[in-house]
Amino acid sequence: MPSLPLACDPAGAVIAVLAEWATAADHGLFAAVSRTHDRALWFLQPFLAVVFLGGLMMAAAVAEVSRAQAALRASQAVERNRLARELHDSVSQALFSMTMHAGTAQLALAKAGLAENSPAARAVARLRTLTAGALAEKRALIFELRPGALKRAWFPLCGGRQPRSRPAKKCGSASTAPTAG
Amino acid sequence: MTPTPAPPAGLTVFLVDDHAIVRSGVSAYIDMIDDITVAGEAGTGQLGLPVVVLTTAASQRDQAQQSGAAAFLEKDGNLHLIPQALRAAAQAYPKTRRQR
Repeated sequence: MPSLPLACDPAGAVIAVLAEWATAADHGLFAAVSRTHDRALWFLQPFLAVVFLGGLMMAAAVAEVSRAQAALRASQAVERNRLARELHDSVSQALFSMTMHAGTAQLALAKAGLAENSPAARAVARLRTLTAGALAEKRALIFELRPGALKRAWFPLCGGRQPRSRPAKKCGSASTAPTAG
Repeated sequence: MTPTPAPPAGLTVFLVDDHAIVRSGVSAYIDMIDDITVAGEAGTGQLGLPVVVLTTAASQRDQAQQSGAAAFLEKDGNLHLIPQALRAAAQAYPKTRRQR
């Protein structure tokens, strides 16, 4: 019987008060039933009380299960947000910087007069392509984890504050979210 | 002497990004471009200058525009667009200044 969590739960508290009121023998919900009927129906009050209490217990159990599910979903969302933020703050930025450095190397090689099909230039070009691909994959992953993550990304040029913008869309399922990049 | 338009003077840019690793990459790339110089960099700040924003996704376009960005680019590896965007923003700057 989920009695302890109910104490912290408004719905559970209401149910507990209802149960207390309904099953009180002298002034409860079914006390009148036994007063107004034959003594042959003496069992009616306890029977109705038990049925009523059983219903309340089932309602309490359902409320508890849905509360636990909501808590689980909330903690999952928190964890997904954290993962998306970590990916955005660390791996994505490093990958972007790598594409910039690869581009820098390409410019340096061209300035040094190295042909585009020389082994060094080809290796750097491949490096840049691979890094750009990894960056796109990472972006798609962040989007799957948290579709609103990129929209809410911090803008350093706004004095460290998020600019006012439309509220981010509610996180949808990954299958319906467009892929980033 | 034919009146020819003056060649564009060298551009000076200031880098702002909250990730030092990004600043290092962009700075290295811009240093390789002859007519653009990096004057300095910072992790955050508000500048009264035209701003070219490197966004993480196309969905940040609205944010960039609301922030008063002169131009914005996606961080998608099209690096050759960066100097183009910087030059375009610099050319538009005197015009925007007059409007203010």
